[in-house]
Amino acid sequence: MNIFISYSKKVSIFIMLSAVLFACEDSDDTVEVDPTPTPDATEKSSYVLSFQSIAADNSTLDFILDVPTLDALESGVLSVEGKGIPQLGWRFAAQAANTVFTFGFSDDNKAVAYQLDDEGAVKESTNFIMNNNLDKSIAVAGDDKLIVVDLIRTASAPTDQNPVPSVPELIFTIVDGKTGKSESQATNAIDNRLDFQNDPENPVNLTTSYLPWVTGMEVRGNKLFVAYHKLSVDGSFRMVDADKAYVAVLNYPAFTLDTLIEDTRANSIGVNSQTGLHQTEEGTIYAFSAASSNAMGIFGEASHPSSIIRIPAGSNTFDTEYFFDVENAPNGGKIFWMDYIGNNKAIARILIKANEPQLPDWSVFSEQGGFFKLVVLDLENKQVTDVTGIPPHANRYSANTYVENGKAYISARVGAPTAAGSVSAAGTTNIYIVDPETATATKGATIDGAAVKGIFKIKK
Amino acid sequence: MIVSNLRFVQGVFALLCCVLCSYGQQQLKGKVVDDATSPIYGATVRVLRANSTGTTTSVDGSFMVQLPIGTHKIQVSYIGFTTHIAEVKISETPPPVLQITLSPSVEELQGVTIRSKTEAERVQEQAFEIDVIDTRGIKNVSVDVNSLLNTVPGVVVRENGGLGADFTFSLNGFSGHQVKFFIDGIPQDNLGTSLSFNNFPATLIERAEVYKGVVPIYLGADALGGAINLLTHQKKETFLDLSLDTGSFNTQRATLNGRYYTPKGVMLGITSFFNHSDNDYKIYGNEFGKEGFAIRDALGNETGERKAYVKRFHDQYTSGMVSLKAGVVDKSYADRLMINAVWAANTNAIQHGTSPQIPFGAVERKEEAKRLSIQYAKDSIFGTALQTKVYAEYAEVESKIIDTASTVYAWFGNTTPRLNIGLGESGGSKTLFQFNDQRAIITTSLLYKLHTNQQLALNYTKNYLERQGEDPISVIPIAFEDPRTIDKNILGLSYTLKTMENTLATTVFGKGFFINMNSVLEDEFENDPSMRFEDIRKSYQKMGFGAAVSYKITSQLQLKTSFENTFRVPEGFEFFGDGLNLLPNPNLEPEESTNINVGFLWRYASDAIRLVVDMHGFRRAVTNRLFLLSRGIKGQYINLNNVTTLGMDSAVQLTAFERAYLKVSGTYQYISNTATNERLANQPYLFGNLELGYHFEGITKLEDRLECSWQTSFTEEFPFQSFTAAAEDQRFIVPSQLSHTVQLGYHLLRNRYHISLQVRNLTNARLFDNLNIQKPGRAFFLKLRYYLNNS
Repeated sequence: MNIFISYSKKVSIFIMLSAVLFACEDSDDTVEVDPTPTPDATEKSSYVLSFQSIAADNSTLDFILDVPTLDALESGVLSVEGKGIPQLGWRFAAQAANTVFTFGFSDDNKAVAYQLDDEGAVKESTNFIMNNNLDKSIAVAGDDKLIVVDLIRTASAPTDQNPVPSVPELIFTIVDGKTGKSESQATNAIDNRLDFQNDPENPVNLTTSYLPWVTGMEVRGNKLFVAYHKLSVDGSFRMVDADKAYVAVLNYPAFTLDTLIEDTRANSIGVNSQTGLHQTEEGTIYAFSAASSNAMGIFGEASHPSSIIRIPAGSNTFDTEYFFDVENAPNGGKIFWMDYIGNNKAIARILIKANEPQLPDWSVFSEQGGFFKLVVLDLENKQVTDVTGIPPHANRYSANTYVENGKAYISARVGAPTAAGSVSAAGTTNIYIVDPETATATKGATIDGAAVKGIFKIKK
Repeated sequence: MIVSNLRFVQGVFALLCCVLCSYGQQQLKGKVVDDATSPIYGATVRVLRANSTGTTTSVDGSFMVQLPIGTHKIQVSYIGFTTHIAEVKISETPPPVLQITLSPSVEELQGVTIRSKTEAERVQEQAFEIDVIDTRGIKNVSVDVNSLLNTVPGVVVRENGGLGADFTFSLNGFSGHQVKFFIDGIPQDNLGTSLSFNNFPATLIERAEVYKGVVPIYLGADALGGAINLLTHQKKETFLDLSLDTGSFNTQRATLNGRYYTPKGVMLGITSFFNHSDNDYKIYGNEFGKEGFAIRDALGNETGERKAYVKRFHDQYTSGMVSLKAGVVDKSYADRLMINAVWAANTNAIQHGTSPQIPFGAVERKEEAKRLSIQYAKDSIFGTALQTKVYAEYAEVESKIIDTASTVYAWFGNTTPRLNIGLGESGGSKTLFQFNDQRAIITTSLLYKLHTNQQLALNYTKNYLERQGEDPISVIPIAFEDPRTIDKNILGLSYTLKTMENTLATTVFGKGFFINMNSVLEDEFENDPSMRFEDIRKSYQKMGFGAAVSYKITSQLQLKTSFENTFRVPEGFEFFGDGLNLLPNPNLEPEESTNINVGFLWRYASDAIRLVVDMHGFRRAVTNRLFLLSRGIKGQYINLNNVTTLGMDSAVQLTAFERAYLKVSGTYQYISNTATNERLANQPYLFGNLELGYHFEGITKLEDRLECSWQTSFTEEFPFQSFTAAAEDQRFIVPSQLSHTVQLGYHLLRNRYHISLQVRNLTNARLFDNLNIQKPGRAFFLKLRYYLNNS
């Protein structure tokens, strides 16, 4: 008993002392970022997965699962059986600095920050409530910030303050990856149009009116580039003027509008959310546009082929000299998803042409079905190369790509589409390790679940 | 010696009488009914004379005895009823049919006990697997029908809060629309929340019947997993029943129930309730291992400070109902012909969505229901053995959601303006969405007695719904501005046979489900207005069937088994979508289930004790179970899962010296995916109730009675998402709950005045039916009741 008391006293003194020490450190250390951290024997790191398992009733459940080494992604089985941190509801995941955030969706407006604790285990460090909810688009800004924009799909009803219908401004939240906290909020309308008509039943012309639906964001210096669809204000995903590409250039971090730019050669940028813009090491921003496809949720007269355009480094306008027609290139097709993996190369998922006619609206958003092939895009040389070693597959469109040692780690589910598009025992999900130089994929760890929606590496 | 002499004299006298009268015998026909004019089956009829052989009444309450001319005393008795002795004179002319009405034995029936007696007992002895709650004792305390049903083995009512809160009712693993609700045999679906069972104080109900898995045809619905039928006051008596009830959280309840019968058989009746509660009870955050609620800054960040609890501030519920009845009884053309008009409404302030961490401050739901119905019943129509019941109604239900606040509320009053002026609080656009439902129901049941031991029944139910939706503030066309209809026609035919001196009862039945749906679907991506709206129709024809067999091995022990192959047709929203995020699926198939029950009922009675043991094992095999699939940002119902439930529920009731009782019930069920055997989460699987009571009688000379009882409910913890996934210390668990309720009741002047005190959640435990949604803490209720009848 005595021993215990004296021991716990020592411990509490130690805790108090360390608290004082850390508090002092915090106060004078604000911008200590080591760009090339020297390998430290005591440094702890962990690979954090946004993991989607399948419940007994076949619904999917989100988890945060950490694995200590890259080996675990390369072979064996990854499972949340007795492991992992369960999440409430469907969640987005994104990383800034050494924090992985999960964001709720629809009526769940809570964001949770996960960091490594002193033992190197992933733990919730804090959480915050967002002012708004609904759909989100998330972008990484610099080394340690995220920009989260809340999206709306319909014009707003008249209110006491606003006697006529209106389109609300978009709300941008800056999230700090060092503290795990919401840092600031700002609003900007970006681009919208409401045409009124003399019809008491339908005061708003739903054919021409639109609101901005963000499909990608990139921060370059003091500018924020926001790609968007002009979406009908009626709550559908029908696009207005889908045959142009739109980017709003905002001043960052003021979120004031600098300029709106458009490109008439390409369709509107991106698919649904957060996949459309990709920045290279040099600061060139590449954008992909899909083509009309009900299966991909691209509704509207997008008359151009699926393609890639770019905003050169240092410029705030589209490069009129550059146009990469991916749809008509050898091995090409309609792009559904793309991620930049370095050295002017990207990997992309292209809708397998033979599949498209049979697929109903929104079907390729399903977790299972051989919808896509994987390709390597050489952005500079405008070449499409099929990746071997990965069969036709499905995967979550907002999942990020993890790159280490020049190899890209992605998750893909292989298996025939089920009747209604759900997951089934007939499908299997694996991590695939893609070598962009050889355009080959190696099958890595098997996922005991539906998908990995994100792979991140964080350190203590 | 004297005694034996007397007996000898009596015997000789009787013999003489027999001899003298044998040439002038007449057949006396009679019928034994209870106060509600329902026939009593199995009553003992004895002619009070020596060597008389008794008889028992048949299913329709009738009996027949041969009697010589002269005056006779007929004694009729039945358990739970006061024994009745009638004097009959038999002359040369055939006597008229003798009607004998038995009154319930007051001595036996005034327990706080949830008792299955008399009619209840009779129902329970049906071959169907059924639990019956007799509310006689419950009427005097502050409970609603839901809390009553929650004590039935196999039943879990999961509540999201206090009075008026949303609830899910689950029976042997089935929940939602898979279990159907009836009042007096009339389907209650689509009547809205102002008439749901949590509004009904138990005072207004006579009896609740819970049919498990196998549902008799007279409850006409596509019930996949069973049905609940509430029975209201049907006795033919003039009475007035008033109750007032007040308690914690500013809870006020009142009921008025009255019937007036004129000697000429005209009946006037009123039934009404009023409920209100602020539901401003304390809740303790319990946010996944973190106690209390985070105090947040203007950006929503945790400040590091927490407050242990908050008080709910926007959870008020008010509901009211008035039902007026007028009609005639016991006429040559009708045993019962009634017109009934009902009005009900409620207002429900919604405190939060799925998580209590973020409160709402202005979201409300309002409903109003109006219903007009006519009911006709006649036994032996046109002098035949045909029993007829017809019911028809028309109802309108208006339900509104109000979510227009531009404020982000917080538990500690630090509200902030919402940046997006288009959004309301509950996760979507501001809305004043309103459903307008019109419901029409016709039920017809015919019962034909082929023979005293055989009957044939036919039931037809038509349940027609037309739904229209509107949102006056929406800029865009919203779901269901075009009406849609669902027309359910359910036809049932059953045959019941009792053989082997009524020890073996068999019912076989078939049901036909003929269901038509009609809606207008909008193709939101179609620009051509003439092509944009498509009329879609869907019809289902399904045949279900089942059987129920019971066998009385001894007079005490009854074995029961039943099965049904049944269907549930998708509800409108599952089929048509909601016009926004829920996509329609015109190819949905009905859910199908094969339900099997095996059980026994054992009754033991001695002078000192009565014991009833009811045990029941069940299996449910559901195929084509509906599943909400998320497809990107859209959702859609599909037929996906096959689910098997195996379980057992049982109840034991012990009554000692008519003074004390003990009731224990428990349920265990194992619900799993048929294909993978993996257990389904978020379902209570082990739960039970224990109740102890005692009463004192005649404390003063005012014919009084003091009752006290203690009730304990237990539910084992269950995981919210999965039994196996996630680190054990991180897994979302709905914790086990143990709650105690204590009741004290005092009745005066033969039950005319009642006063009762109830303490719910005595230990102030933190109770959760659903993840993180805490139910009220300790609460006190006082109820006064006045009951006056003309008997």
